[in-house]
Parts: sequence; C-alpha cells; structure tokens
Amino acid sequence: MVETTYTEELIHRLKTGEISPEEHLEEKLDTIRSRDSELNAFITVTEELARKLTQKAAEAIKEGHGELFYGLIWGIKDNFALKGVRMTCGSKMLEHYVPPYTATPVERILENNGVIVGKLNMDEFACGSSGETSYFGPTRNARDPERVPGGSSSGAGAAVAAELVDLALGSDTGGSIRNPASFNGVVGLKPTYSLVSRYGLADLAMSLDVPGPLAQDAFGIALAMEAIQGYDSRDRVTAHRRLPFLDSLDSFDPDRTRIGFTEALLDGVEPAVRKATLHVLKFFESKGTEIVEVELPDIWAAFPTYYLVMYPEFASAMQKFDGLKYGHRVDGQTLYDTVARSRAEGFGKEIKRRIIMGTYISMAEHAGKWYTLALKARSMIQRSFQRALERADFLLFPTVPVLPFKLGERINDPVQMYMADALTVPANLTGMPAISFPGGWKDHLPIGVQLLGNHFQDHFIVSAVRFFEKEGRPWSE
Amino acid sequence: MGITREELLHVAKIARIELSEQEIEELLPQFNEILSLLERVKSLPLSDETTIKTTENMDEFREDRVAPFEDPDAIVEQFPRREGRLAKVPRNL
Repeated sequence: MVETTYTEELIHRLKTGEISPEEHLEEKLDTIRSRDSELNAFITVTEELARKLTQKAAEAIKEGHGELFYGLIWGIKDNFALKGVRMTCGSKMLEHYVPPYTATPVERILENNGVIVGKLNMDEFACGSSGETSYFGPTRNARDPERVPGGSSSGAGAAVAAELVDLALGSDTGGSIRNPASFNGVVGLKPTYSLVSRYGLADLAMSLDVPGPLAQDAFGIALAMEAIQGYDSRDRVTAHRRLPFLDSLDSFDPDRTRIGFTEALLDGVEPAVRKATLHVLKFFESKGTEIVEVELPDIWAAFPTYYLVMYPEFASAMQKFDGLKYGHRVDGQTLYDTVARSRAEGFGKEIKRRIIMGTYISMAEHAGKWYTLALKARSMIQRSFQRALERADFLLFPTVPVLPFKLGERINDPVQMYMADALTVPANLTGMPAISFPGGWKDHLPIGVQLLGNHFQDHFIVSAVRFFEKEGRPWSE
Repeated sequence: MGITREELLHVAKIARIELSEQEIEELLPQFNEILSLLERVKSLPLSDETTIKTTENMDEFREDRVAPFEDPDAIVEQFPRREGRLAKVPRNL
C-alpha cells in the first residue's frame, strides 16, 4: 500500500517549509533546461513571471494562507489566454498574438498561489491525437522520445510526466487531456461539460470543449479541480455547482460500488491494452466491487458522430481568424484575397482539412443530410450511456486502443489518426466526466485506463483512481 | 458517393481558404475517404428525437449589461495593419 503520492508529498514539503517555493522553482527550471530541448513541451517559458509568482506564494505561505497550491508549478496549454504572454494555439496564425485578458481557469490558478512557468506545446488549434501538428514542432513522449506524446495537450502530458511541471492545464474536446495522459503515464481528467469555465480558451467545438487538469496522481487532479471548477458569469453554460473533490478523495468504498463493463469497449484494442484494462477491472472486483455487464450497442457510432458534430463547430469557430483584427496577415488586392491568403498561409494541413470538411457538412444543401443526422446520433449515444449508468456507478475501459506509436507513423493518414480517439469521444458527446490513469506498462510504455462516470460525479471517479493508486498496482509485461 | 474537384474548390472558396494544387491532390481522396467513414452513421436505427443536454442552465438568461474592458489598447496593438486606433482592411467593393 502506498502511503502518500507525489503531489501530496510535495504540498506537505512546501507547506511545512521543508522546501521553499523559490527552491522548488529553481529545481523545475533546471529540469526544463536539461530536458526540454529534447521534449519540446514548452512553446514559451515565463521565467520572470514565475519568479514573481513564487515570491507571492512564499509570502502567502509565511502569512499562513498559501492554499491551494503553495507554489506548485503549473504549465498552461497554449490555447488559454494569460494577459501579456504570447498565446499561439500551436499555430503560425497566432505566432505573435498577445492576449489582452486572462482565461478564467488560469485566473483561478493564480488566485490560489499556483506558479505558472510557461505555455505548453499542443497540436495546432487542439486538432490532433499525436502532438505532431504544432507549428512549433512535435512534442516527444516523456517515456520514449522516439514516440508521440499523444494530443492535443501534448506538452501538458510530456511536461507532467518528465516532472518539468507539477500540474498542467489542458483542454479536452475529443480526448485531448486523456490521450496524452495515457501515452505519458500520468493522470488526466476531462470534467463534466460546464463544470469548468471556457472563458479565455480558444474554442475548437463549443458543445464539446472542456478545460481540465493533468497531474502525477489523483490528489493533484483533486487539488487542481478545487481551484478551477465552478460558475463563471463570463461563460454562460457553467453550472452553479462545486464538487467536493478533496473532501471525498479518500471516501471510495469498493463494496458499495458497481462498475459497468462490456467486451464491446475492448473491440479492436491491442492485446497489452486489453490485459491492462482487465487487470484493473479484476483489482476492483477483488476488493469487493460488483462488475455489471452493460450494453452499448451503438458504441461504434461514437467516432463518426463525433467528427460530424466537431467539423462544423470547428469550421464556425475558425471563421474569426481572418488576418484583419489579429493574427497572421497576407495582404491581397481585395478583402477576400487578404482573408483567403492569410488563412492559407496561417493554417496547417489538419486545420484546413477540418475547416473544409466542416464547411461542407454545414452547407445549406448538406446540413439536413449530415448535421441533423449527427445530432440525432449524438442523442442516441447519450441515451445509451445514460442507460448503462443507471446500472453502474461508472464504466471502465481503455483510454486509447493502441500503445504510443512512433513519430511520423500515422501523420499522413488522417483516418488512422482519428481512430485513436474512438474511446475518448463518448465522454465529450455525452458531456460526462472521464479520467485516464496509468493502469499498466508494456515494457517502458504506459497504458491508460479510463473511468467514465455520470454527470457531476467527477469527484467520485477521481476517488476511485485514488483508491487504485493506494491499494493497487498497474499491470506490467 | 464522393465529391469532385470542382465541388472541393467551391467548398474551399466558401471556407475562405486558398488551396495549392498539391493540397487539392492530397485533400480530394482524403475528403472522400473520411466522408464514407462518416456515412456509416446513416445505418443507425435513429428516431427523430434530438434530446441533447449539454448544460443545466440552457434556459437561463442574464441581463445585458455594459462592462468596460480594462485595457482596450492591448486589443488595438494586435491589429495587423492600423491607422491610428483603427484596423486597416482592404477595400471590400
């Protein structure tokens, strides 16, 4: 049994003065200097800002109110605004963009004595599952630099795993937090849609996007969620709720829990991923948890439905990038030429592909045929997950069907690349919370296992991961 | 099933993206491959119901109030081309 985990131990040391926030920051800056030239997890390192924030945290600790973070080091995915610091979204389009305001989750990190050490690399505009589409070059996997770190919060996954930061803020539209958490062997939570404000997050698809944390352990996730969750008048969809993440962290009771499982969720996954998933399932069963067979007959449809919903929302979100108000500009003879050329030069391949797909799907002559169809399919998938969760407290299945693959292996095959999202998109389509945590290791490569719970049961699935961290052990081969 | 080169160019025009010859060559087969994958959704036994619930406060409205933005200069500074405090854009007519 594990007594304390990484983040818990660190908070204890910072709180008691065993290590000062200044010393802790210097340690992290050294690690960034020595490892990030290889990993490329950062787009911008904000050393000066971090020193100021560290001083502030140190003073707060002295005065006895250093909570929640006591100077823990944060990295922020580069699609969240931090006033005065360049925000690129991993794109040439925003290479020199400096936002005039700060995103709500970032503001809440600062209010709680978090120290932001930089902006993290990501797939361009969060479009990617491998971390390879960034204009600023690919990020590398922290466990094996020959392999991809997953995406789109690629820098977040790698930076947490390589201990360049203690916590990272990511965003998840179809798996962008959980996929890199899985590929780098860390924990990542996609919260219930509307639990965390999107104000200041560059949108990918508004009905699916949600900010969330990546950490070494469930404690780090709970701590981060305590700060960033909750209503925000600047994001109208945010719920009037706060969930008891820290208070319920150690309250998981295996005897009073039912886990939903179906073989359909293991269809086509790699053997090692399958073994790790079944290992975690058996662990819970051995502790007294009831395993309930659930039916998800239309699970295969989640992946095409996701793309039918996401493409048009994305195309719409990207209309604002026209080279007129901010961002990359190529001057043409007419307004149309200026916009079309600015976009042609400012966007990478995957962005253009998605904008064009989305424009096609939402064109008047196709809208009924495609988008309405997608909304019906999305409703159907929501209903079947709701039915499954009437019989179980959460579902357990793999995060990604495959192990981290080699850089360059799938980048020219968009369909193969999209397949990596097959098991993460249901949480976004349904709005339900899902968490990925290391459930196994194949040699040195991590395997993420995912728990998907009912709306606003985020704290419950975090406590289940905490229980596994303390009482269980990941599968290995 | 599938779209032609002309249709692709038409969509790109509406999307306001200039495509190079190489991009068209690459995109056309990918576009059709993706579309045929998405077509599979049509085989679902769908009802006419759309019951998507994304948030608890779907019907909540707030009063429309003007709130001053604290640093308008920071917005002006981001204009790619400007004249004084105005963003400069090409003629539209």
